[in-house]
Amino acid sequence: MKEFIKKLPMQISNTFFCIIIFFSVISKLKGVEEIPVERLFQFIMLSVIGGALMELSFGECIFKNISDAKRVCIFIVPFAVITFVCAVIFQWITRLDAISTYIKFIGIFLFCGVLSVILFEIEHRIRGREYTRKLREYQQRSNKNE
Amino acid sequence: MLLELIENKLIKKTKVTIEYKEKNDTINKLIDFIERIDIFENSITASADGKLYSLDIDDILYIESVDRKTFCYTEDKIYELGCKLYDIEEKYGVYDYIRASKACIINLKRVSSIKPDFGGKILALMDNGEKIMISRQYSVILKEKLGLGGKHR
Repeated sequence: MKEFIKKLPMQISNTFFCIIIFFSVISKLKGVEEIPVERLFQFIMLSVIGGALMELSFGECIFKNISDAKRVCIFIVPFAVITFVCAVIFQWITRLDAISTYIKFIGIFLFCGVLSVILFEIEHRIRGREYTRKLREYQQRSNKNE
Repeated sequence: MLLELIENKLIKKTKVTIEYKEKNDTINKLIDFIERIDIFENSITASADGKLYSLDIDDILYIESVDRKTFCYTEDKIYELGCKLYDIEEKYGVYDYIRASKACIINLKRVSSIKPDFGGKILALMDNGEKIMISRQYSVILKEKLGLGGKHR
């Protein structure tokens, strides 16, 4: 719990940064030039929830020894639901009667989820190779010293 | 018998040289004694099925503390140890044993691969295919030992 509280501010700020980047890109694509101040507060609120979910999913607090993919799922499913609720409440999306709205929303989250899993896996594998190489060197040194 | 002790901080392993004119019983006893010390230092006494075993420390994959009891795991068997985890760490820490968590010590010689995990942890794949998570606190020590800088994310 102590560790969770300690790491929470960092996770919130990371989530906030990602949300801002994401919404800036979407806004730019839609031709929107500015983000209203009240929307920033809405993003902060979402970041607090997202940061807590992030630490719960990727930290050691609750889930131990589970795969990267499972961690991403544990994070992304509730975060997608919460984001959708926020999007409806704060009117980030207005056309709730159009099926395309839901498809786009799920599509974006699915894409982000799959991309995250792939990137995490690639990054861990690359570093893992380096770690294992160093381990082999250590084992060889250790055997020579015997 | 003349005993000569030479302190040399440059050497990595202690070397014992026995210089004799003729090999006799005393020399043989001395050699036997020194060899036994080596065996004693590289082995650990453990029990299983009501029998006592002397295990080579290199045969042990990891040692775990469960319900105040200490168990060591080889590729095919689990043994119980009569000592606590910190005793093992103190006695065999100079070898290739390293803490993975508060309740587990792993033998680095029996790790087939390692991979970083979330929260600065490291996932170790043992020779028998078992996966052991090295906590953030101890992964820093492991990284330092392997020359990976000891930094964590």
